[in-house]
Amino acid sequence: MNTILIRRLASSLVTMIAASFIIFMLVEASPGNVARKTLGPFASEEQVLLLYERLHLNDPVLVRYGRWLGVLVGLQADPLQDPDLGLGFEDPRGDRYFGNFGYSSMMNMPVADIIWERLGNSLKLAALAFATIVPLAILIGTYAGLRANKPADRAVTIVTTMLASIPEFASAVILASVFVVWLGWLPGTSPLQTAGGWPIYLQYILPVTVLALYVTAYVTRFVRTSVMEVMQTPYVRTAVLKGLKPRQVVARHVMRNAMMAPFTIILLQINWLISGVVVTEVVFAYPGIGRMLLEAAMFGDIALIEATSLITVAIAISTQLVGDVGYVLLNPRIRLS
Amino acid sequence: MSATMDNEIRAGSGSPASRWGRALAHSPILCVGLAILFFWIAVAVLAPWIAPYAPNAQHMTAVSDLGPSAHHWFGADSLHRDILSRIIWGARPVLLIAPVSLICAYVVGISAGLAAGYKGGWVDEVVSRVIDVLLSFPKIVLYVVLIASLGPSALNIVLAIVLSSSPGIARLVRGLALDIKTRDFVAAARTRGETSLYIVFVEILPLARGPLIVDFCVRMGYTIIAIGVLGFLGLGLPPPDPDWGGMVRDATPILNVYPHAALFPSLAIVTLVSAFNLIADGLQELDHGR
Repeated sequence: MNTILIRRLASSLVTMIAASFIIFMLVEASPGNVARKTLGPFASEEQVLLLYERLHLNDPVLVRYGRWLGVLVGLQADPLQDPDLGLGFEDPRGDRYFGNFGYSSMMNMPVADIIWERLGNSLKLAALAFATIVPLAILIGTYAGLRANKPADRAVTIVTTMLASIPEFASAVILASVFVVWLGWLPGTSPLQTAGGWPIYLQYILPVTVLALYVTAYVTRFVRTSVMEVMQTPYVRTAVLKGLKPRQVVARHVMRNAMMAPFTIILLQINWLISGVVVTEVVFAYPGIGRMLLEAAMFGDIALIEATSLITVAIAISTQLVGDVGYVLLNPRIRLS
Repeated sequence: MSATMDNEIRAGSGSPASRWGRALAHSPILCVGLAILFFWIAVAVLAPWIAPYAPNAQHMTAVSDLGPSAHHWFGADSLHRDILSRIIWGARPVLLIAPVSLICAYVVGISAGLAAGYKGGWVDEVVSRVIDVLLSFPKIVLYVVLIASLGPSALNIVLAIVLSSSPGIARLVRGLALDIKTRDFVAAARTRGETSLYIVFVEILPLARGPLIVDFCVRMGYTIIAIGVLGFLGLGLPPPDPDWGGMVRDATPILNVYPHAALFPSLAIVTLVSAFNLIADGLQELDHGR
């Protein structure tokens, strides 16, 4: 048991390091760009060249990656904060601390000052979506799975197929047309400020609904299939034949076994939820980390792109780890082998 | 998995035409999906003849009111361009980029998956690790970071989709290859002295066809969504040529007054995606039904 845990942990760590290297490569592959983007479009060619020299941007990519990682974990001083450079990058935490993502050229402040609040907002959105998705998917999926191939089940299948075909930005447009434009019940943007006259809780309704629709449809299909499969197992037949009431069969035998699949599905499909969060945040101008990633990418803010994508990937990987380990804990068959 | 493949072998009887006929008769879902798909293909092919206006033309008939009218059935966008014409022309890029990028992803994924599954050993070890790392990325992060550093263009969209789809395909093919390579006819081929290349492509790959076709349809749906999302985020095809996701993006600022400008291109994406999902469901159903 412990060896499984340690092995999974180690492999997640390796994956994380590899992922960070990929991100670094994608963002900083061309070193000339790094200097240019750090200084902005108004810097002169000499300034760019000077920075290129000072940051040792002509070093091999692995060396640069090592240096970047060193700054990130606080082993090395951030070269951009060197007062000799005259960039005016100041950080009250100093130039050497764990989680030093550098200085955002778009926001003109240390990345560490902006990112955590945005991350908190995104997690709030994801948590609310999660709390909607899980009970709904289990309820509808079980309902359909117990009535396999009957009209109710067919209806659920068709509706979930349709819902899984609607990308988040499209369902956002459709829902906003109805509830914002036509009925006027809900706000069209969710800046999480009350200045627009809308209370905060109303601002959450549309983003959470948009997120939940797509993923619920997906997870419901899994719950349905898994309930259907469990219903056909010998032990459920035995339970029925020995005279248990249908309700008891479902509660004691079906649910417990059928829940395993959706549990891991939801955690392992966290990447879908994250992608959905990014799109939803953009649609509703929600101040989360996903919108920040897109804005940073549009602006060319290297430090902020790296920070946001790295944190997002870290969340994805650790959730998958939890899903893996949870599956092992839940499934006695794996535990024994 | 092996049941699927046995079905695939049994289904091999009869001419292709009669097999399709039987399939269609058995699955209304498949019929509907194919009908929607053929509709959009026809629209894309016939665009120059059926589109009422040129996609980038601006119309004085739609200056005071952008809403749907007799001149502009689906209304006009904020630049007074006819939305119906833009949707019709916009079917072309998506129906071109989606299959092309997915076929590229399949070439990469199938090669890597077959190599890993058939060869095993260190090849498998390396391929599996790379798959793990790439799959650990939320796709949208890959898209945004990649296209932000390379710039938006059709080629970079293809690149982003290949990079994000091929690991999943490789994992699927690897699993199928691991299963199929234990069969007797593979051993027979090896005894005959066939090369590894011959065995994986002639003996193993054709047998994996069934699950791969279903997977292709499902992924077509995702890919179309991905292209739409990229357009919507402003990372898709550069303007002014019509692109469904980009049309939705352009229309969101005027959503409060003219929701139709965002609604119609959204519906276009939804119908095309659901066509592929229905086809995938239909094919799967036929497989289980036999």
